[in-house]
Amino acid sequence: MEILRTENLTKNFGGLTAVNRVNFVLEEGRLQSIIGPNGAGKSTFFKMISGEHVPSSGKIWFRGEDITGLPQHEISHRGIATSYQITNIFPKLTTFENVRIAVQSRKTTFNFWTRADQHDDLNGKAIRILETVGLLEKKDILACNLSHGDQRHLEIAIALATDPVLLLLDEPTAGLNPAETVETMELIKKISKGLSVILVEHKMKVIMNISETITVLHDGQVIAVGSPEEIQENETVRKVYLGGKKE
Amino acid sequence: MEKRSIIKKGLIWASNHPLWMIILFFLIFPFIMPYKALATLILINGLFSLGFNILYGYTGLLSFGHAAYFGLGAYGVGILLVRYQVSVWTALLSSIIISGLGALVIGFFCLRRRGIYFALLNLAFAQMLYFIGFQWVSLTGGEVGLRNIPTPPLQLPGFSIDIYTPLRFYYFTFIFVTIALIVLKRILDSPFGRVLEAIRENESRARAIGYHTNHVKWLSYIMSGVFSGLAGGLYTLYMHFVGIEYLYWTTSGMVVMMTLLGGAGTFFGPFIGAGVYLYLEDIISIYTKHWMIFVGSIFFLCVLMFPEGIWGRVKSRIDRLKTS
Amino acid sequence: MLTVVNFAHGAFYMWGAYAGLLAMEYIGNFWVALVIVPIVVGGVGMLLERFAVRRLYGLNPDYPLLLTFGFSLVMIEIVRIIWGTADHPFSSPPALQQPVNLGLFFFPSYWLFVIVVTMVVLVLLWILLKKTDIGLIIRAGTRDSLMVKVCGIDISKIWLLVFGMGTGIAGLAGILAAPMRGVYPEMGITMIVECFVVVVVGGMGSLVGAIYSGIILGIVVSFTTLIYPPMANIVIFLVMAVILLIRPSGLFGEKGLLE
Repeated sequence: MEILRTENLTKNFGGLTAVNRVNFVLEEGRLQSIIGPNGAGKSTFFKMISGEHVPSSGKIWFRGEDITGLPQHEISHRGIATSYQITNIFPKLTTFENVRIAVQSRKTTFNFWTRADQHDDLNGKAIRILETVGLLEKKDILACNLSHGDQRHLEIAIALATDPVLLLLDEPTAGLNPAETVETMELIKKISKGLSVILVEHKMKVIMNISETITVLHDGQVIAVGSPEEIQENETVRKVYLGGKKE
Repeated sequence: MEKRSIIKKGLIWASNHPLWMIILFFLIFPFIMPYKALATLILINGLFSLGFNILYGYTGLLSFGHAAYFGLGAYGVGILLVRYQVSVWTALLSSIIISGLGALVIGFFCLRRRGIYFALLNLAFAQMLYFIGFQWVSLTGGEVGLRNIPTPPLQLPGFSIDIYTPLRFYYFTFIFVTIALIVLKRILDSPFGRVLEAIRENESRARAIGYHTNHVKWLSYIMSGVFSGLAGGLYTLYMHFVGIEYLYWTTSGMVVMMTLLGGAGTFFGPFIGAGVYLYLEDIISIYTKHWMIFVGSIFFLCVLMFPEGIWGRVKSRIDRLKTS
Repeated sequence: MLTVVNFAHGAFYMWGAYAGLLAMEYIGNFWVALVIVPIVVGGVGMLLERFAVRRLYGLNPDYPLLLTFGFSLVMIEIVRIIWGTADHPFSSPPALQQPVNLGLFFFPSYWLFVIVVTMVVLVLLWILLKKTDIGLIIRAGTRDSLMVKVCGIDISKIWLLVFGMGTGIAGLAGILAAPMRGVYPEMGITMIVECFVVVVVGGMGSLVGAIYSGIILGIVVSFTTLIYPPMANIVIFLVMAVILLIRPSGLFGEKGLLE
């Protein structure tokens, strides 16, 4: 069953068309990657799905419902979560609170009179998620004091904490060294079980290793869709993406 | 050595139990101040700063127009007492409602913009209220303000009491401040309070994880207005007078300075800031009427050197002590 | 472009007027004052940038606003100490005291002069921003200062210049406004609020919007003064509220640049 479908999704910024009539389909439970050179429109595509940008034209369907142009917080509640390319955490809150506040978003906003730290269900869930991403020992450190690698994991943890059905991972390994990249790759494999995931990546190794399907974006348009092997063989992709060079 | 460790423990205990510390302290406060009027003033202005701090310190929204809510509360009490001869309770309650409604409406408009624009929109709307207060002479007394406000006794079940001696009024204010502190503490510790902090830290991420941040900010704005309005109402009761300058930008500026001097986003900060500000004013104004030049300079240096404020400084020291 | 719109502009505007007062007293020539005052005021502005505002870049974006608020309080108080709180009259230069006949009606020649000077300044600014290398750097810098730094340009010098120009122009506006609106310590804050309303209505970062909204608000105020004078001060805020309601980005504001 398909979980996400976009129809002719387009975004213009002034005269620039960042995303141009993209038709994209994701089957439930799959991990699909989007690749493409810088400026191909990958992040803009994500931001339209998550509701941060309103599409200029086109439609987004999520689990059979039209979610085009819904406010961001509402899309979050429908089950779409983003892990951002540029680390986007709550810097002066502890690692634990970063995750706990995301867990809380599923439960309550306007609760003024109970103590936040006594909601054991929320606390327990936050702890479990921190354990999954390997940040449990660092739970009391302020998020801004974490290492870059840990912040990238926290970024994923915050997205996970909102119980998503669909997870958008925007370059989760950005700025990581090879060892950390491998670690993050394993983490993505682990968490993507039972979830639908769209992954934007630059590192070919990561893409080839974990994707089931790959979509190639260039100048805002889809130029190829296929399995990792098919994409590697695809001549058009080689031309635009690898600059015609053989690896 | 011995002495230092006691101080250290005391400070840690104080920062862990801010609510009890501050209530205990205010209980004896009038007796350690040079005169009781100053203690009352610090309490009222501290309450005003507390209201401002909800918005700036905890939600991250800087408003340069909080005179609007202080003024609405002050005029609410003043007008009701002068023109309608209501009881103290009715006057205070109405003033809270009036400033809350004012914040509801003005907040709606201001929150359509962010950052510096939000700050200055507040200033603009506060100036609008100032001009209204200035022109609507039949209601507000215009430039002259409301003078000779009646001082009805406070009705309590079974008896009534005159609250207008310095000490009695101090404790009358103290009760309201204590309630406000308890309420605020609960709100800050609640799930809602955590959402406020998340918005202060990173609003766009808070939205991305599913919070309707505009509603949360609006509510925070209204709460802030209500606390400020209560402070304004108490101030009128205390002064028996409402002046047009309550609505002027100088009042907005004062609460910004008090809060920042003391430490925005800290629990003690607003009161410490109010204390320092009023104490300075008190001392310097004996020598010169241009005390603002000193207060302005101190504020200027404070932003430049330690924008976290006095208690913010102390608190980060204590946090370091705790971990060591 | 002016992302650092702040209280200092109000304060420097006020100082411009008082500096004009001072210059008139000692030099006695309006034209000389008109040249000297903006330079002096802009110089003070640069000092403020160099030694204070600069230290706050990259920190909380509210800090410059708070800092300049403290600064303008001090400036206001200094002026009060020297000149007192009263309104000072400031006469326009003798050459411009006769009204001019514009065919349909008479117009104060000094106002006409102010309009011309404003136009000249606007055109010069426009040329500077759009046609010169410095303008290019400024425009790039307001969008992405890191990128400009990477390009090897000392952006701090540029900010110094921009701040100096901004405050210098504020000073010029102060001395120009003095004969029309009088000179008093709090004129700066009044001006800030009014300008801000104009910007909100016109749309941020839009020069055309600012001009149109200035004209529209001017007309609205004149009409209100005719119909119901007590509302004259209040009506501009109501216009602002309506604009916020129906077009939050202002009449000529670009939607994408809202944040």
